[in-house]
Amino acid sequence: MEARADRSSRVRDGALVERAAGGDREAFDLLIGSRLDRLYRLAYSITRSELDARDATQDACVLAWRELPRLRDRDSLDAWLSQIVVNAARGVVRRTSRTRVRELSIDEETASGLPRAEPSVPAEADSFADSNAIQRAFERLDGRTRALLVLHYVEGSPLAEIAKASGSPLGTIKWRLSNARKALERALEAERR
Amino acid sequence: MSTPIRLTDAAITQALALPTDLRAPMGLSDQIRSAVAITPQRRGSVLGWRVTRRRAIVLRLALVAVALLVLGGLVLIVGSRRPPVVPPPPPPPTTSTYHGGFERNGLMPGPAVAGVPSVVWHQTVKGPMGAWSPVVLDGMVVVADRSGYVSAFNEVTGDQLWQQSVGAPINAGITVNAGLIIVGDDAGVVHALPLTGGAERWRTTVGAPVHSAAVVVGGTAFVGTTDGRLWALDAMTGTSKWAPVVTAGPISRAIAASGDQVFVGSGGATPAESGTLQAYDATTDALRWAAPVEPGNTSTPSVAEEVVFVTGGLDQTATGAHDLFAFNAGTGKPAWVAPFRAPSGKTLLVGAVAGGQVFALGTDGSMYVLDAVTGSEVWGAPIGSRQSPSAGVVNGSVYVTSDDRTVHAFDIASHQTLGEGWPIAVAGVPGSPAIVDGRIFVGTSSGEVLSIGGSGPSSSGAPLP
Repeated sequence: MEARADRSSRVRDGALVERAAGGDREAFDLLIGSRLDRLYRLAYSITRSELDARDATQDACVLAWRELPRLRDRDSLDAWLSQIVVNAARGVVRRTSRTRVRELSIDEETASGLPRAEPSVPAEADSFADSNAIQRAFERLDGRTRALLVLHYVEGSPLAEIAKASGSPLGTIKWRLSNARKALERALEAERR
Repeated sequence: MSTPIRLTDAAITQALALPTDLRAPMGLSDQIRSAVAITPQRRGSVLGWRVTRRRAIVLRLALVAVALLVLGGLVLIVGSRRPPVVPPPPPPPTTSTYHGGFERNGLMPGPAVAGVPSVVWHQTVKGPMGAWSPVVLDGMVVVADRSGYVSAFNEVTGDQLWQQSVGAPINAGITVNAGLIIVGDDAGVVHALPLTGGAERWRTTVGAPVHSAAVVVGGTAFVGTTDGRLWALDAMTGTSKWAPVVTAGPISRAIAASGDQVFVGSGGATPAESGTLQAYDATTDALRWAAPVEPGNTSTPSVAEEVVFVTGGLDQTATGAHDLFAFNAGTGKPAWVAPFRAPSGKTLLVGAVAGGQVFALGTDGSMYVLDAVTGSEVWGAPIGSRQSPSAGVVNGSVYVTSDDRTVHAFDIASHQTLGEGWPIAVAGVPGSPAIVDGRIFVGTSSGEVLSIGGSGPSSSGAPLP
């Protein structure tokens, strides 16, 4: 039953994509309407700001409308939309971070000299305070690093899927994720000082 | 001191998880609807006829049918006639300049190096060379050095053909057009020397050092000076066509051109000097548009598919932004949602633009490859050293020289490195490559000129002699 519903939804979406790509704004509205919450949540999880997430979602949807006729693989609409939202959110983070705090990037040379967390008495970050500290540290990161952490830890996307969506080799994504975690560690350390 | 937090996967997931009831805010849907209502879609068109997907299929089928008919007709005609006359080869190019051509997008004439690269010949000139690439045309390799000499070598053998002083140090790139080498010097004079050697054809005083490379559009040579003026000189006589245009600041990188537009990046070496990219009409000198970039100098613009790519924040030591921008060549409007910045925040240069990808070279030792349409990073590769300011793209491969005296090559489609980098046994730092006739030509900071060619069937990373 579920499979049939899924198939029927895909057929309906396929027809909407065709119509929207042909310039039908109502069809585009229907396509986006059913996905808006998901796209907004994705933008919010990267920007961590309602205003910025709103901007990023709107930018992404307008870009999606503009570029939809050029989307070749119509079945990959959701992955394509997500990638556009991620890019837009990264762009918003980049713009807004210039006027807020200095970004810590995954390759920051100067940050490599920061003292690392003491590994001897680890404590699980299961408290509210710890989660808050991690969130604040996350907000110190650049857009690209945030996006990767969100896709993996919040969206639960497998690394192979992220690699495919971004067009990067799997090894590169693994390397970037490892660097992203290190950047988060450094940001957390900076946050605690 | 509080207990350090252990960053487990679960801790990150828990901290970054969103409230389950988080929804898109009220009104966002309406805002998007309003924005979409005034946004045209980008689609292909044929003579104003909108190409929908269905029409595209019909069009393709029609084209295939026509092609089959034409092919059948040709077979009949050829079968009843004498062998066809081989069409003459296309005329050889008459211009050559830094970064592959006047669009400065790094597309090289090629063909690429076949097999394992090795030094074919090695020559020395009077002084060091900067980052400018040699210029290769009509079987000659021409370089200019900081001692003020222009030197020409036989492309195949490396034999020196001639050498001539212009009387002042040269920190500018060479442009060859219609048999004349056009180059400016630090004394503020632009020279035109015959490619074949001999007396200077013309010289024009422009009043300030030239640290740029000229473009020639419709017989007019555009030259930028460090006092921020854009000169338009008759390429054959050197006569100034109109009063020089005062741009937004000093010009210290190559000028680019595409169609009837000339693109100039200007700026300065301090954060106080704003960087600007400007587009001028090549026939009237009118400013068509100007776009602010970032404080500091602006890179050589690169043009491809009606988009201009440029980086900002060059040459200034204070911490500042070093982004890569994309502008619509016709309007000057940003082509990307946001400019690209390297994760390290370090300086970027546009190495090349080819096949819908931008090859950005970072002084953090990485090459970032971006989607030219969206600006999103597609792939990248560690180079391990600060690279040359430009790369060369030939036949689906991108070549980069780095200041650790290594030539790097990557297959663009597979993102694979063609070998682990080939060391070059030279004393100086290599400048930008020119890739012509299956060889890589580079000048170095210690005054060496190299021709590197392939010497075998494979492309593994064997060291150069």
